[in-house]
Amino acid sequence: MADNADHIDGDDNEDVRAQQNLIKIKLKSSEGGIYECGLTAAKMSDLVKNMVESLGTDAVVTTEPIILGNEAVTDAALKKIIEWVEFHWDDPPVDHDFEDEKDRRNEELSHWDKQFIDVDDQALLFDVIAAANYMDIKGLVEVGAKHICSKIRGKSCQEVREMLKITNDFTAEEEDAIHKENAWIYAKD
Amino acid sequence: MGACVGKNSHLKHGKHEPYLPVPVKHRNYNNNNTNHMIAKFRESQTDRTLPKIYRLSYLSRQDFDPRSFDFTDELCQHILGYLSLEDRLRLECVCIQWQRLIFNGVQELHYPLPRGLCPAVQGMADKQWLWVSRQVLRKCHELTKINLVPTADTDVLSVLAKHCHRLEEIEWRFDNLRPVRREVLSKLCDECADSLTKVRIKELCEREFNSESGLSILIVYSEYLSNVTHVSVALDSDKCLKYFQLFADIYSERIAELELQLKFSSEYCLVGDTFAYVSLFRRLRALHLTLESVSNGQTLDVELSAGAQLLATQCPLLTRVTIELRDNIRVTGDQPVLASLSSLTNLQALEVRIRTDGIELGTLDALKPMVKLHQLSLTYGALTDWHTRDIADSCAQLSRLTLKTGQRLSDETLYSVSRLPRLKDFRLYCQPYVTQDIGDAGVCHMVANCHRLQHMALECGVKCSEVTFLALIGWANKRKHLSHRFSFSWERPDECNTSRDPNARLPAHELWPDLLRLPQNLTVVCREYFVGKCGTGMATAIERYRRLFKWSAPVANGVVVGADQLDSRCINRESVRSVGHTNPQTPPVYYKFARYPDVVPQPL
Repeated sequence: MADNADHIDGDDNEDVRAQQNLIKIKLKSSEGGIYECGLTAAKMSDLVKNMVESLGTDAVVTTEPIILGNEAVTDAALKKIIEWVEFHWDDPPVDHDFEDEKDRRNEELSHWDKQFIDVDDQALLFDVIAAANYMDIKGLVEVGAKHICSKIRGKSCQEVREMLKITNDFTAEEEDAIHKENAWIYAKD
Repeated sequence: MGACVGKNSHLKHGKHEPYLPVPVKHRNYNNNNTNHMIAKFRESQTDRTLPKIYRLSYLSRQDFDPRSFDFTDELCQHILGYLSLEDRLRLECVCIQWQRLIFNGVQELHYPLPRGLCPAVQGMADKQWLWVSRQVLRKCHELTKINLVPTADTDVLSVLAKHCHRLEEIEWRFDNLRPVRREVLSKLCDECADSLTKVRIKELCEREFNSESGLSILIVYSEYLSNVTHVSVALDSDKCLKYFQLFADIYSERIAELELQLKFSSEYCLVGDTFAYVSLFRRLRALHLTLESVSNGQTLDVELSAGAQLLATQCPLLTRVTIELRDNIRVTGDQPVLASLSSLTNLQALEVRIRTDGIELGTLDALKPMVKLHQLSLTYGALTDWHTRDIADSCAQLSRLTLKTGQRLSDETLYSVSRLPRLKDFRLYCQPYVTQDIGDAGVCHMVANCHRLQHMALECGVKCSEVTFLALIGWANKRKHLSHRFSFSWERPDECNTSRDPNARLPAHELWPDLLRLPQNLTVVCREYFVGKCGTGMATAIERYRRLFKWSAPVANGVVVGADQLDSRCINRESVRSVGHTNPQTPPVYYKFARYPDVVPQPL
């Protein structure tokens, strides 16, 4: 009996999620653009989820859009984020019972995510990461972080500085000191 | 009727492209009531959290390039957390912020660092490498887990005491001929007193046990180590057992998880006393016992059933037990292993590893009294279809089952296992490079009957075809909200072997195109046994598996391909087939088919 019960529960839950995603809510970026997004998809953001839960679904659907006030939520970033959550909202949840699932930290990005995050405009990429962090979408922050790390892997400090446009704020002596300390890693044979 | 039309038109109106967000024209909203609610909600939000800035660019748009990496510390540390240790070391001097944060994400380290970290260090002297490792250790302030591989010395402990105050787990080795300075040790224990929960002690067994050894250090610093709940220790002499008794007296109320490695010899044969001391830990939840006799050729009799009875009465919380029986151990009484453990009726998880000949596992009937048992793992060289025959009657509650055997199994095992209604995770390990009598029928039966199954690994040669994959797809589609995983190994039947050139062989996804059309929640890992192509890979796989059981001779009853036979068979096939290949060392091909398989996967 009990077996069947949670089995059916799970399926029901899935249907509810799918139906709820047909309900569209509106999200407003800090630049004023308003975009529609499925409810289940939008709830991947913990910020939106909390808001929807405390206001009630009806209030959110019928009224003015949810304002995402952080500067990082530009129009372009919000469009990107909606594209991501609309693709990922029906992902199977992570099952922490299984050992190999725990090791997701080292797992490569999926093909779709790689293409999604590989944008030419670096300002947009950083906005998406900051906005996803503000909206508390853990999966997307992880995708962005892994993408940046894969780009700087194996590069030298100068290359990284040029790519990510970071100014070197060390004095020459400080930098020399760190270099000296880590000299062994630069040594050739 | 009218309502119906209205509903439909609403649906039509609300429809839009699934993945492309469409801008909506701004309208005037007049719902005062909900507007009020939203305003109120915002107020309550601002009370708690001030608006957060994640990029410095937004502080002053003019001075910063929006394309620059200018995240605040919290987010920067999170992003840099996905770097490897080598990258962290190399990129430390990018800027001051990175220098401050880049090592904070390191949570787990070995000391010394692995030599493979960077090619330049291969030729470095050990002493220098230890020094370098300590330099790195100093930077990792948020380290939670450390494994000290050489014997603990004052140098490394003082680095830990000074810089790493969040340690949760330490694995260390002590050498009583090179004692550690006590003030360093007490500082370390004091600094990490709040976080430290897990201590693993590896003794150097050949030395005399005295007050400088790891166990006595635990006794001396018991005041500091009040949060320690998990201890791992090896015992090898009666003197050592005396310390263990003292340790048990002091820590009896604290320890929840205990790992004991018992190395019996002529100096250590008080098996009964050992069990008595273990039963002093009243709050013990998990016990991991490894028994072995290290004196040459002398077998030691262990009265397992008496020990189990004692534990069952003294440790009411004990729910997880792992027992590993190694060399020269004999279980006394005529009872087989499982029967002698049957008094532990509270168990929820049981693992039995028999790694020596001449011990009988017995039937699973003995597990019937353990009504709560939901996790079972058996490692037994002579495990056959016969053992699992009645598994559904003996342990109906099982949700996880792992079987490791040296025998040849058939679909029968899968048929019996599929009668377990709660099974979630099933793993089967048989001899590598031997195709078992397991095929479509068994896999389909499992998938159709175990409604909760999510993870199935058949780490043995399986003869399967597209029928299996169709069944798997149906299996995953039944419960879309759960992830499913199936892994197996296969050997190419001769009819598929059209070409002798390994590069011209059809890869798995061309043999079974269904693999490229898997649903999102299904992952299939398939590993092909290339006989003849991967001589080295095969030898190591077989050797590794052999070590699991310590096979010395072919198993008696003839059902098995004995280890010796197996080797000669492989070598013959290898030498016959490797003639035409330019690169006989290629490892076996490993494919993983996962979500979004819109591209042909690369071999792992």
